Amino acid sequence: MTNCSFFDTKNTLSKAKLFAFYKVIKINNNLNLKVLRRLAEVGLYPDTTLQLIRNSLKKRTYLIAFNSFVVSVQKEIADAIEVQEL
Amino acid sequence: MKNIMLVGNANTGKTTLLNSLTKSMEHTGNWHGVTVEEKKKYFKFKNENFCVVDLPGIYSLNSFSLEEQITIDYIFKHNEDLIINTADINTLQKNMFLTLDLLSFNKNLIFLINNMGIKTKNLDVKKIKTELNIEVFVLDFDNKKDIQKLKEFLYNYTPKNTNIDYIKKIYSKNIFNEINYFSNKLKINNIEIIKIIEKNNYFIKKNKKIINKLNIFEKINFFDLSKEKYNYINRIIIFKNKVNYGQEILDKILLNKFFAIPIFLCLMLGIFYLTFFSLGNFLSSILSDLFQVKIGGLVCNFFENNCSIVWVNDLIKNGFFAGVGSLVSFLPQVVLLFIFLAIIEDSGYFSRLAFIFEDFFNDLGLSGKSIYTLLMGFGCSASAVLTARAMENKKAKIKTAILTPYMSCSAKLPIYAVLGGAFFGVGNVFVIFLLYLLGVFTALFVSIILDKFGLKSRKTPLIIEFPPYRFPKPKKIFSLAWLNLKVFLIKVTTIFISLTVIIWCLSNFTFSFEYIAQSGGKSMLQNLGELFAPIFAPLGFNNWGAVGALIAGIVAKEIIVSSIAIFNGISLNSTNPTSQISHSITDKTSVVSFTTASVLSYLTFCLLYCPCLATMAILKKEIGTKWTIIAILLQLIIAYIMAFIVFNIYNLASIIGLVSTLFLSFGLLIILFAVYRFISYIKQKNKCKICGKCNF
Repeated sequence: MTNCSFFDTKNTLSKAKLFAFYKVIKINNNLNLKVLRRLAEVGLYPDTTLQLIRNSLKKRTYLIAFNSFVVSVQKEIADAIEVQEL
Repeated sequence: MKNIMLVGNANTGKTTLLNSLTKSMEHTGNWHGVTVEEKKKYFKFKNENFCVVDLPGIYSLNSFSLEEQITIDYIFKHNEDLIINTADINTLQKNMFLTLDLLSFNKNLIFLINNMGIKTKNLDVKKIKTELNIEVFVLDFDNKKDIQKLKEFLYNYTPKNTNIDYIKKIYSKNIFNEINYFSNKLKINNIEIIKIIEKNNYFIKKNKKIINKLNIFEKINFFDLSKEKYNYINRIIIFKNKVNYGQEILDKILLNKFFAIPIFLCLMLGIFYLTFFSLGNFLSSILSDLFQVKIGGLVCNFFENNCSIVWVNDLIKNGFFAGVGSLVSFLPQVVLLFIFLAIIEDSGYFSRLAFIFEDFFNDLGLSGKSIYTLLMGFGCSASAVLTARAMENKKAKIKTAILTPYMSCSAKLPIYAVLGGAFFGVGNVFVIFLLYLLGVFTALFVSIILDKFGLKSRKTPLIIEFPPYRFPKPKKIFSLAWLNLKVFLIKVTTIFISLTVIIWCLSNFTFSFEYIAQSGGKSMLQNLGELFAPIFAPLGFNNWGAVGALIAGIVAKEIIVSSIAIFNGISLNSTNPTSQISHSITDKTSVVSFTTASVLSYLTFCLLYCPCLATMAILKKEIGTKWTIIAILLQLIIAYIMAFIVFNIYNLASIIGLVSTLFLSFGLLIILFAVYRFISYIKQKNKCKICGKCNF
């Protein structure tokens, strides 16, 4: 199999629709440990419900809302969060 | 003395509480990472002394950045101190995550919820109190009555001796049993097991030998622990805040993909116009009239009537009042700029800027978080360099700290206003705006150079919290303005007065200490300036006065204007001495004089050459001697090159005409862009034809 993202059918946060609600299925642990831990600390872990609010012009930064507050995350993080639409 | 430390998530009002408790005026703002070092303040209540320590915000007892480590170290070094754990009512659940972490370590704490003046009827405080067995208060950190009640409580407070097993309370039976199992096997505390699962470096290193025996990470991961913690928090907090992060319409406009950057640029242009012209100019002329003409006139008359020594009279009139006075007249403009920056900070827009510029900064090898430091650099470079501590790693911190002095700090405002004003009139607002932009773009260009110098840091993906928009509080805005006014006045009464006197002496006495007005000859500064002047000939300002002012400006940039005033012998008889300085520099017979091309080159050099002494000292403390020397040398080289380019482009424009120069510059840009695209094409050629990213 190939690593080409074209064949990647996983539904990640970076492919999510604006303002739709999603449930986090899995967070890939290929991210930096500190980042993974920070995600856990702010309450973003499997089963969290979130909403994609906005993305930047080049789609490298994403604004997401969960647990009543908003954070901006970079594409690397959005790519690592697998979600399922609710 | 009772020792208290303020611990909580970032942007929960710790510094506001410190200011309210100790009646101090520390910098606060509606964004994350305002506080980057511990701040100690004292207050007295009913004969009891209290020491309050404000610490940088943390999310748990695992550090993410350098400034978070400061807080964690402080907490563990001062076990006996009372912790005031602050929380924001809007993000209570997230804030309580840290509370549970602190309680798991059996820390002595009280929990303060900052309601920011909003009534919270549906929050069950009693339930939190009984469940956690700690004191919980909901109060407004800005409200005097609430602070008085808190002081009363702190006065009467005695720590409880409870032996509650918080870990047993927080985690479900299954998880707790697992933790217990590992705890018994490895013979260490439950909390240490939790920290090992959270991959806390300190606890992993401490127990390195024993944790390898068991496959602890396969059984539980930190996501499981967080989930359990949040489940517990949601059980004890009945209060539910809606998924409404604030004013969505404002975000739709201010964060619009296409208009966000133009809106920001227009906002900055508006701020500059108000600061340097309309409002700023009006206030400046009032102060200038009061200080230089009225007070200066009175004092000078007094000395002339009572003192017969010529050089003393000259020093008072042309040294002190002309020099210091020319700076004091810019005080309203400096304060206005700080007020506008404070409004941006307090409104919540500041946090959004990181999102707006993230893509652009990433292209240039910078993290979005650098924006905070760089924007703070528009105020004061010295204090902005400190905020680079919030960067996630050392290389990013060094790089951001080096780039900060390229931002045009408020000390450079008088230079732009006086020198630019003389040649460009009202159009100077655009010149100033372009200088600010030049500073930013040069910093971004230097960022690419620094990557080649080994400062290319592995980028840590960012998570930035967005605070809700709010109306800036007048009290905060004016306290910040007062704080900067105080700093400026302290500078004026200490550094500026002494430096002005020194510069006047150096420019009026020969090396054999003879007063040149009576004996003739060349002054010390003239000799020194003439020595360095030929170096600056290619930049168009090879007169000793301009070079002498630059040398003096190394101590503090404000001194450049007062030095020019002294060199050009500005008198106090004019109704507007500031405009007199402007007139003098256009007169070719003056000691310091410029042409339009050389003034642009001089302004560019002033913008980019080495930072002031205070910033250099902080740079040395923060990034070490080696990087400070590199930073200063790099700034001098870049300032020289940029000033040379500006001078020659303007000269070229005057020879071949503005339109031809614009076409030529545009052509050059197209060639540069074509080269850039060609390099990108070569790189892309070997990439996947489908997605363009992988090597498939």
